[in-house]
Amino acid sequence: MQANVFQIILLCIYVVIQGYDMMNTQVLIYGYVVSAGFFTGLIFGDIQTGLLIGGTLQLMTLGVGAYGGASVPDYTMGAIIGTAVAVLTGKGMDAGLAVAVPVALLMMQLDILVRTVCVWFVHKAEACVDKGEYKKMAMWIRAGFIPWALKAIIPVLLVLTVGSSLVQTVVDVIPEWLMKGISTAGGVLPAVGIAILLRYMNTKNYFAYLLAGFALFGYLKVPMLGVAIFGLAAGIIAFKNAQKMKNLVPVQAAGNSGGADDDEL
Amino acid sequence: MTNYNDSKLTKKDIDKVFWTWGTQSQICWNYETMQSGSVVLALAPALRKIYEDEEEYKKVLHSHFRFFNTQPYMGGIILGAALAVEEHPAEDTRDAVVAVKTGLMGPMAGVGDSIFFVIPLTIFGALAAYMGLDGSPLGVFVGMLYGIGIVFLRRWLFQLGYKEGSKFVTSLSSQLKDIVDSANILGLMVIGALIPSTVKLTSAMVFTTGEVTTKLQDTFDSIMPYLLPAVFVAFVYWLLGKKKMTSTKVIFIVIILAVIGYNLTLFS
Repeated sequence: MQANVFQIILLCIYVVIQGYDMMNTQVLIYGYVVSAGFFTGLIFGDIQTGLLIGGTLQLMTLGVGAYGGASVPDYTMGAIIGTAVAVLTGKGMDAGLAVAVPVALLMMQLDILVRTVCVWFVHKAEACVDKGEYKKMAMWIRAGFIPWALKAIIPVLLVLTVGSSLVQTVVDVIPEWLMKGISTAGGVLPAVGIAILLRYMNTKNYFAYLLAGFALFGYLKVPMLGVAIFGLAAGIIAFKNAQKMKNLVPVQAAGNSGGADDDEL
Repeated sequence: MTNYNDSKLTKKDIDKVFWTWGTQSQICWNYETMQSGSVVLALAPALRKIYEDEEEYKKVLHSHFRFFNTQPYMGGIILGAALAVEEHPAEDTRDAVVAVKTGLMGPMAGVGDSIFFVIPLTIFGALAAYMGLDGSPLGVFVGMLYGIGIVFLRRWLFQLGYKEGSKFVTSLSSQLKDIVDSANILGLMVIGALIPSTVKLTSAMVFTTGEVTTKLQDTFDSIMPYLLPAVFVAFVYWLLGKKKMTSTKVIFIVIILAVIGYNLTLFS
């Protein structure tokens, strides 16, 4: 298991850009676990393995969004490390997934640490205001990205340089039953993301649409895009109806109060 | 109320607020004040032009270092509105800006997380995953195109906030709830289809009674296709509602259940 210097540098640049975009520009965040697998695969010369690992992990992450500042398992970094390990050890997708899942969970702890450390940076920035050092203030705010960048680079360097022999040993000794078991878990874990989504959304009021979506795929085998179009249609109808209701209500209310006035007279 | 410094901002200054926010919206995200650093970074150059008095400028900067957190795309609307209020300093400007920011960040986060974050991430994520599992990176590029295309909408949202100031909330709020409701319908329909298509759970268990062997999975299939995934999602949904249960704990529980289930041939 050896990555050359060029590959390590490329991967470090990629994880920093990816980490930056995930928080700030948020342009490349749609399907980001798959794209992380894809780009890592591209760097190590095995796009197919990258797409497989990225695709499997992406399905686990559906619904597990890091909104509101919550820390969630970082399946993106899981896909990056998992793909690198799978390609470099030559052990394929199962080994990659067996490494990716624990990496994703460990990264969540690092995420909490970084969000804590940034408190110090923002305090440093605000302290510059009273001294009138506005350039320095902006600099401290921007420097808040340093811990985020380190969070992305450190696991890559650890796994690909000093820790590579350790990772190789770990991958070699993972027993078959555990590796296959985690692979099965990979198939089941999307249930967690889906259940979180259901808790997040207004499931109680719109349960009927959940049933319809299930039947569309389960019985009729409608592809995902087709289901989305059905959903869009249902959404548009509901929106139009709600707007129509709104236009009706004031008229009625006015009529009622008018009636009441008449009675009084 | 004197509008000293009225229209000191050029179109370029206003645009700069959007681009700074759009590209660095959570650059110093921290547990104490969350996105405050990015708010300061985005507004500071424009505020400098509005507030020429040094002491006043400092006071205003401090006020923007306070807690702020919302969905980054929708944050544009809020910053646009806040900038519009700041541009015409009056006695109650500080209170008005604080009211705009703290009053809007919650509702905007709720709307933004649904229609710009959770639902598109689910739809494009599923699309990219399926194409990826088929060996094609096309889904990845479709997602990227969407992300780039939506920048125009983000810019429009910011300009809307700036133009309408704080007024727009009242005019839009009646429609916003209906938009979120419709997004929920679309989202739930897709999630309904995601249950059978993404949760890979079948049973490998076989019962032998005398000469007859029965596959457990065949029994399940005769009841309903994808029975196990549906039951399992319902189980996790119930689990998440338990007291002191976190999503991380649930993930660990599911991994352990899957490893045990696989080795008992209950799952495959």
